[in-house]
Amino acid sequence: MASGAVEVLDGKKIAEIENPEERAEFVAKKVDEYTKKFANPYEAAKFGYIDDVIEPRNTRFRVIRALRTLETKRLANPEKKHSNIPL
Amino acid sequence: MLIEQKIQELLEKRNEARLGGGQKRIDSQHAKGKMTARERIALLLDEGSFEETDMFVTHRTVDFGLDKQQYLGDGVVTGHGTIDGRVVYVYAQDFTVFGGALSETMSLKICKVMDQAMKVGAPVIGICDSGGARIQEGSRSLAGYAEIFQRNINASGVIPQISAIFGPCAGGAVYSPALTDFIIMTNVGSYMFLTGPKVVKTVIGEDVSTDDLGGARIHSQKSGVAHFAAETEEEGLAIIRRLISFIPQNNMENAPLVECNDPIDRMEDALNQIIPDNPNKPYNVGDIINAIVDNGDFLEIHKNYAKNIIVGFARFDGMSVGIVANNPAFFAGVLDCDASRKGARFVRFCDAFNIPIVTLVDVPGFLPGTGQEYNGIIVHGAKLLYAYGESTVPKVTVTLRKSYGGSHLVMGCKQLRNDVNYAWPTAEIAVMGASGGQRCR
Repeated sequence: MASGAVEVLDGKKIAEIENPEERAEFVAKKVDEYTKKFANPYEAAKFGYIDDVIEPRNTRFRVIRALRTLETKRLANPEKKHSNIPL
Repeated sequence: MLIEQKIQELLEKRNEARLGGGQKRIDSQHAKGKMTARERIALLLDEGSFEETDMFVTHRTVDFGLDKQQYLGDGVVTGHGTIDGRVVYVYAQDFTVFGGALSETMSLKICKVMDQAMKVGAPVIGICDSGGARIQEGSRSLAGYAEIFQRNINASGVIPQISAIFGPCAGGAVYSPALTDFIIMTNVGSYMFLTGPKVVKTVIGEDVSTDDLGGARIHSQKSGVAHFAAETEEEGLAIIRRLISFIPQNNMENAPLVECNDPIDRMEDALNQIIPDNPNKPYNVGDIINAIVDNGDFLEIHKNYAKNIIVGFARFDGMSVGIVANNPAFFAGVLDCDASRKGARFVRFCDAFNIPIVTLVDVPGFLPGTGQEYNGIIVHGAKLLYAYGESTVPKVTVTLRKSYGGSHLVMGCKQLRNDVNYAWPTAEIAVMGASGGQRCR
């Protein structure tokens, strides 16, 4: 979070623009582009990393339905003496 | 002896045991604004449910004239009772007997209830109020601590263990509470440290008060040792009762299902507006938690420690659930060493005791800087990652806004075996934010 994606992707170009107004305009454009492309839920949803995009006001119902469905979940970790969590 | 006399003798002995170290010491305990061990147990448990064990145990030490100082029950009150009808085992150290100093026989009494709790699969609640080891007993007292520690370790992840610190808890004694799942302290008269202010002064020349070294404020805000800081003992005991209501009796059971009178399809229109348009503007994720859980009833754990992450218990349709949520209202919800440890410990408790986890994500990243790196943010962050990846309970994640880079991965992402991942339309799941200058506030 120290630097943003636009600085990483277009830092060189940004540095080359000498006029501050022009530079700000360019950055704003790039930020907008990046936000549209990546900073949204649909990019992750495209790959199934997000199961669904939900309306915030309906969160309670969706979470409850998910938990109800998962009540019979069965999952076990591999057999081991014990794990070695980084302490 | 006539039968009536024998019964009379029993009643007299019981009355004697109930007086602990005697009325004078009970009065001095009250004068300090503290309750006695038995008063604490009576308030903790359902009325009339307490069954005391080992009331007639006395210590076996003859050195230093201790053989002439005998108190029935020695320095701890033990037994079992119920909280909302569910069995719990309890022990409460009795400060009126030798200042609650731990003897071999006290340890045996404590171990007996712990063993019993393990056999029946019921929680253990310990109330600490003890000056430390009973020095006159030497290594037998030390061995007594170790016997308790070993049982704490064996019981970990099998039955819930809760510790209340309602007085001194110093030296090696701190390690029993430290091995348990939750610690409750009171703001006045409760302290925990390995070495007291006098030793600190002698060894490193530092002047520090008892409260500033190990009071409730320090442990509930700075060190994270205590999960709850209560204003009074009554409040502390009420917290324990509430905590017990959210958790199962043991690792083979589920938490109790309660009747839910809050409509499960309740729409919260305010949530559609809660995320500010400006991505750097904070809001309090606590408001979202309160809006979505049953009746807004949320038991927050570590409330004043690492406030950039919120953890605690609530219910959804009567089901007990552990909630983990980044809080943008503090340091932009960033993950640091403390927040990672806090989250990891909570996730592991939930997983050990079959409590589903609901994660609310709005995290800009890990906190940068030498302060964090030197303190091992890599290891602490890995704890949270590990805890999520290791857990097998049902896991539901809702991404509210930011979920960037490494911090996205450790907050219940899909690939760490998360079951259901929802996102709000305001979610931003990416390697990093579009522009720098996301400031921590």
